[in-house]
Amino acid sequence: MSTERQSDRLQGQSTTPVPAQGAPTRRSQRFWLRSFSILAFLLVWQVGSLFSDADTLPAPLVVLQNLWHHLTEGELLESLAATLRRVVLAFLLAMATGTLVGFWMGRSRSADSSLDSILILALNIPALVTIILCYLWIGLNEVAAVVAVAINKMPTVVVTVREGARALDRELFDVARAYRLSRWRTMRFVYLPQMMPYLMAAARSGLSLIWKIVLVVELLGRSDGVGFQLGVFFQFFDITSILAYTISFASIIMAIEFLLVQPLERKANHWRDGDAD
Amino acid sequence: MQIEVNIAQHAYSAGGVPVLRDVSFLLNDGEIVSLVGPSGAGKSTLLNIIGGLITPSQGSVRYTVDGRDSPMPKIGYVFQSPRLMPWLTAARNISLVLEDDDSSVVANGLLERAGLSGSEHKFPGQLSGGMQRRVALARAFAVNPELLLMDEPFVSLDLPTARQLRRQMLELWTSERPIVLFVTHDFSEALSVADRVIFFSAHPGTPVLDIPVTLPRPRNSEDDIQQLRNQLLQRYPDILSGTEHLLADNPHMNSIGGIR
Repeated sequence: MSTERQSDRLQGQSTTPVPAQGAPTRRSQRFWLRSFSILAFLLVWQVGSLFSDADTLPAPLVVLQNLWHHLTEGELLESLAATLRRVVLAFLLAMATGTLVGFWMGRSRSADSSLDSILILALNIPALVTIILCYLWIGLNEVAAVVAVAINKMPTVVVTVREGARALDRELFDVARAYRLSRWRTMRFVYLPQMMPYLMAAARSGLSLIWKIVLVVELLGRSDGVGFQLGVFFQFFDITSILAYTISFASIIMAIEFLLVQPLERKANHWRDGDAD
Repeated sequence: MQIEVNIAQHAYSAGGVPVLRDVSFLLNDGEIVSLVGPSGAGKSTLLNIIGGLITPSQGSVRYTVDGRDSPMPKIGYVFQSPRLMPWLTAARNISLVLEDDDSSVVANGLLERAGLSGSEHKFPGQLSGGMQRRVALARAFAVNPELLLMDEPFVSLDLPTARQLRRQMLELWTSERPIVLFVTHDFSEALSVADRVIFFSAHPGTPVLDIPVTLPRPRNSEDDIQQLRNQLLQRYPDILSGTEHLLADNPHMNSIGGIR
């Protein structure tokens, strides 16, 4: 009984590893720090461009003009749309399959031991190998591109979600069982809130990894998208356009992070701050 | 409804040290039974078995209505710690266990009766330990249980709050007549609430004495309770340490009745 007691006491501390969001004042402070670091970066870039060849490192304003040009007269929007579509599809595919497998591995010891070595293998296969094999086996098409990206991302989702599934609170699950909650309610109100920080972590690291791999996939076997365009600019040594494209999709990533991921995370964590719903 | 507990033996792992041995007793319809015993007597484990959360290694628990096997009754379970969902407000924690649509009305009513009006929309992290316990009790009452299992529900509460919650539990019992099985360390508490007290010994847990408490209800007089307590302690000096020989000394332990 003393061990039961102990675990009861521990339960209060066994919360998931996400710090509470800061107060509004801290938030605005963070905003200024962030803006400052971006300004400092631009400054270094500007100074660097003064000391180098205009073709090697064009000044920020030149890149911005070039970006405007691509935006209004070039294929920037089409390329971004094509890439974004692949990112979203691959992201959803990787998250869905990775969550299922990860949850299963976290809850079942036999599943964990039988799949563990495959998981280690999957984590360590170079992205290039999966991409090439997908193109060769599935064909030079959209399906192969999306699947290749998803396969690269999936193992890391599995690892993160498995960690979360292992950390699920047995005691809260017993509450669900004692009160005979339906499977759906148990999922929705007992499991999911505990899994949320892990799912968010998987989603966040997933987005950044997927962006990187999607470009490689496009470079190797697609005739549209940001990756394909970058390949073209590479052939013409067009550094200005390469930087312009980089800035454009970097800002999209930032927008997704600040307008989608962070608000979602705040919503999932609001009970830690104590705002009533 | 009756519950027949018949556990020959229970260990956490096959061949491990048993936590419970030879536990068999009957819980009658509408009875309040208190389990008293030292730490390590497997009382929480026994509650988990009766609540269907654990399957005993050897033995079974039978639920019967009029002598016929019946499915598991509706259970209200108050665990040793409050075990609220930290991401749900007090009211949502209660309506979680209710399936019907007007559950928030029920939840708010129960919280009000537990002295928690105004805290409906607070998260467990914003409530004190005692308030969390009260929410956990309200949750157990919310389902209108046929069987109410309580694992030291009033421990670490201040006296007035504990008394208030005991009264609330008795109110529920008076109107719904569930079988109540509750674990406590507090002998006086057991005597003030229960119809029957079962004493356990430790390592492995086994019942050593089963006595009815015939004090009339409501038991408002602390003196009566203390008097009974002293009588019992005189008669069974080792009762609270849960020593084995009590059983051998008292073969008629079930017929002691009417100690008052």
